[in-house]
Amino acid sequence: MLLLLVNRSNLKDISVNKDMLGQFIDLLLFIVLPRVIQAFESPWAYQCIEDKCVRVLKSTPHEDFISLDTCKLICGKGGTLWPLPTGPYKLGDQVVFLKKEKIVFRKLASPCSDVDMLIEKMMTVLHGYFEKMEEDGLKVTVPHGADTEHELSLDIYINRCEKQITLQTNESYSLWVNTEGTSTVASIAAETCFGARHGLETLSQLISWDYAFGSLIMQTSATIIDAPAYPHRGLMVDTARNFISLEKLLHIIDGLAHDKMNTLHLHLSDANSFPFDSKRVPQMAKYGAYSPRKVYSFEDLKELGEYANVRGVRIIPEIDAPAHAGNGWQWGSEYGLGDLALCVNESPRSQGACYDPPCGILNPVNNYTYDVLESIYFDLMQALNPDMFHMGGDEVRFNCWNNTNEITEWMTLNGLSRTEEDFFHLWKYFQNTSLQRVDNVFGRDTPVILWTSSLTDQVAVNGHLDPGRYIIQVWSGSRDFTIPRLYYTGYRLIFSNVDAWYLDCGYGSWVGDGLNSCAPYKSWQVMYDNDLDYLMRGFGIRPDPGKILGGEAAMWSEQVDDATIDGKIWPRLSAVAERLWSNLPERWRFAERRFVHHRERMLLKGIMGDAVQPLWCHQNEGFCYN
Amino acid sequence: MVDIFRGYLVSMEAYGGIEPTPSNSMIVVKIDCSQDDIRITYNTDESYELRITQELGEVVRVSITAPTAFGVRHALETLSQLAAWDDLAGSVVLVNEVFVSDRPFYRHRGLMVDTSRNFIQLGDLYRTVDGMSYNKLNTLHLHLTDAHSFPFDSPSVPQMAVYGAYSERKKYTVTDLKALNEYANTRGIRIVPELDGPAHSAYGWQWGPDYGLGDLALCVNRLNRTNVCIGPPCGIQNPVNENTYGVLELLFSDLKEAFSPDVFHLGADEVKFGCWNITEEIVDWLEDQGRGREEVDFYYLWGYYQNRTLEKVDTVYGNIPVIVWTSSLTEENFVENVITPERYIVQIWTESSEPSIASLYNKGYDLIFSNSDNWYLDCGYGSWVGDGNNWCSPYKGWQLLYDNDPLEILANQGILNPDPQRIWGGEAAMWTEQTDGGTLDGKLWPRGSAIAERLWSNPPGKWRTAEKRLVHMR
Repeated sequence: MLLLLVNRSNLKDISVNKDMLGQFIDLLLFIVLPRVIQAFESPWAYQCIEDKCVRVLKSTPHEDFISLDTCKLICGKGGTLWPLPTGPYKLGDQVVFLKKEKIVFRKLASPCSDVDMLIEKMMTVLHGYFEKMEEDGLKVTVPHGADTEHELSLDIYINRCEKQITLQTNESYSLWVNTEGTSTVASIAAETCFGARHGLETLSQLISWDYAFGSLIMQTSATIIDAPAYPHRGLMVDTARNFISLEKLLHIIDGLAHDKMNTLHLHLSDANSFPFDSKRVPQMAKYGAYSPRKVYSFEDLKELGEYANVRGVRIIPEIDAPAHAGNGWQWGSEYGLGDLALCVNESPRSQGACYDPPCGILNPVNNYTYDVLESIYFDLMQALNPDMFHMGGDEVRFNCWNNTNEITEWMTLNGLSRTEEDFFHLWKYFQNTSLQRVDNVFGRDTPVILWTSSLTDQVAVNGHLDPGRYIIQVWSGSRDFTIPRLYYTGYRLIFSNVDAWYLDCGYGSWVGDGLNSCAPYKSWQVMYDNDLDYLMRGFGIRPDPGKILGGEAAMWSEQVDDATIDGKIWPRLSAVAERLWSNLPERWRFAERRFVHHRERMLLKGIMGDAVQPLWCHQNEGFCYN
Repeated sequence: MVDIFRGYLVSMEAYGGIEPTPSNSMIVVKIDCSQDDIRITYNTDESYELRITQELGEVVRVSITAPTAFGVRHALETLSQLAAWDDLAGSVVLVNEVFVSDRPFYRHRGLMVDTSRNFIQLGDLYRTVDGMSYNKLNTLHLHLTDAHSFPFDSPSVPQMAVYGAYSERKKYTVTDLKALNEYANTRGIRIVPELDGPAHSAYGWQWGPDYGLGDLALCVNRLNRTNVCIGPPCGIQNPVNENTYGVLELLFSDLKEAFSPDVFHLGADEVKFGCWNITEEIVDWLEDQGRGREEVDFYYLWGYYQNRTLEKVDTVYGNIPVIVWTSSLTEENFVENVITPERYIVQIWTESSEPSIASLYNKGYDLIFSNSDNWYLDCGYGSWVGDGNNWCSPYKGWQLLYDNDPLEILANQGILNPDPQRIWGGEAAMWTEQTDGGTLDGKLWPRGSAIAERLWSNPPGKWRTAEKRLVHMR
């Protein structure tokens, strides 16, 4: 079959033998014009009764009618705050109308100019929220005329000069809002600018658009003392199974900031593709990226890191190894470096070389493999300057190594036979050698993260990976006894247990019939209730708080890309966020009212989270869950 | 239709993102269309033939022959799938020798979108119509109203949306819907509106007493949901208030203005008798009719409601076919005495193993399949009314949607050679308790493409034979 080149401009000669088709073409000229929305006088209003916003007919004889938006701000424990503060807090029961032009930044006390600049940027982000609220509000409401002389002045006090967020950053803050006459003062005091940023985020949740009155409204009084329960609160995004664009990652960081999440873990590479366009090893993306447009340049990652830092988010890059490596690594022989990866693109069905297609595992006996890794590490260090590095280390199967002459010969030379124990030895050799390369680049003090695996199962018993250096990210189920073993061996833990915090579960399989491997879907309720203290108590452990660092929800991307990632991450990530920030003793029912509101608020900011209920439940509190 | 086709080529080039390689190829498209129907209906002949031949030199002739403009549209859709941007060539390329003779297996190939549980913006509906047209689906069934909200802004009964729309912007005017309908028709899609009744009615219906019309709906927002209704929220129309039918007739007229539909959907699912049974007005009426309060009496009342409503349909639309969902009524052996198979089509949302499917066929009903075990798009997410996952979990993978074969379902129940005219086809159902505009696309697609091929091609093969093309289609 021959393919012809066609130029669109040459497609002129369309002969139509019926006049009626012409009529259709006329119809096509029809353009969807923006609608002017006709305001109607709604018969409904709200009252705050027993901490619930109750919908009532305005014709009911009563005096205390308020709008839904006002009610949400002042009614019920915590109003619309998400996540709930952990320290003492108190909210008032009044709102004032406010114009966004009347929000003034009055005073900033900080010890250095770097922090001043960061705070300026954080303030710009905050103003962006108000602009979005107003922009949407004015689409449907006539601006409120009266009472807009009210002024909100903002004072910020910061103690430390810290300008990059890390695991050690003190994120606590205090926020006071006081109103006298036509003046409201909001004061934020924090150790670091990242704490102050959280304060600004909280402040933004005390303000909303009132769709009944056509104005910004604000809580008149609040006292909030707040600090996160866990220092590591994150989202993992896999950018290798399917590519996630830079724009989408920036957008995801916006969402993380709204949730006071502080960590974006990028599972940058996998056997399927290698989207990082390394300066030092350009072959990786050339051979491994899905297409020339599905790559991240060095500059892209640098931009991402800086954008994230302004929003209180740090980026942890992961280069998964030795397994989950394939596409991108095929160029070794052509460049005279020998095989860097083995069994690339072999079917998993042939001799069990790997779990899922495509196969691929690094060649641990080729020294060039480590040179390439070190070069990639170096690029990542320069782009992101991460305070922790993720080495992956999951799902290694030995069959491929066992079937490769180069490997088995090396093993014989080094006095190893081919038992499972010997292959574990080889794996440890890989881990230790690549760790040296990490040391060369990031220094010996940078903590290194590994996923739970058959290796971490082993070392929990045998003690081969230094618990002072390695942090273990638990993707095993919440009842897996590897958890107490790792804990007692002394590792610090990050939880992403597959039975609660995996965002990709419950869809159709991508490799056969039925559902995908971690089905069913993990609802927000399950995510919210994944209480790490409770989980550890299930093993009879009262955990040392320094050893449970926190957790991450994991967005593996076999079945997601830009088009639907918002709806798979949110609103469920917000549930994880409150668990990790507030760690309340309560379960999801307690959070439902605020959770649904928070999802609506995120929509307004462009985070297209999935619906969890009919909007009716939001407008009729307490009817959908009793 | 031709302009839409040109638009596809424009986007292919835009995707390339570079100045296309110069080419002297000339494509000449000739269209023969013999009938002058300008509205798609369930009787439209959608068949077409498409021929591409390369002549001497660089002239390529495309010849499209179809009885109707809607067949022509499908041919153009197919033609667009024979062209693609080629990265290596730096140009749009077209396959040069083609013959396709094509017609749909089923006449009714649709998606149902619920616009009440959550509101779906017009823009999202337009985009959904676009997506349907790429897949040669021809029916957009709008579940316009439910107990949760009433987004249809009826000019004759403005109270419905005033009381029942979620907000001022979450409603559709007749002008909106009319424009949507035109847009859909140009893309080979007809819109089937549904006003669900008597159950699934609450918000929007509360204004009766304020306007002196009595209760139009009963038990609205009652909390005791287990015995009174399936909710939340509760609510059922008042079948013994004459004004209920007056309002329905007005709503039907306004919907006629918007859609002039060739079939109408009356809903009629999930009627629970608890609410009627605790309402004095109803009980008194039954007593006046010499009836008691047994189940059979309430079926009598339901039948009365169906007949009165059907009269209103007839007044407004003439004797067009009406669709109802399967329900406790369609499972009863006296169903044909209440709703006649001559007029009613039954849309099956019961599971494919339900024996009532065969019995409905045997009683003479025409059938549309939306069996919830395979063609429900909302399943598998967290529950919205408690712990665990939602009621029809798990999620239906595209593989299940693809393999759901109505003829196989009937054959499994002993109906081996059904009258093809009576099996209208099917719809994938997008109930929206847990979906709104932001995530609608990802739930409709690519699974909508899987059902589209089942309904258009009804291939003997299962999903594995379709996988490569489905992924490309996505």
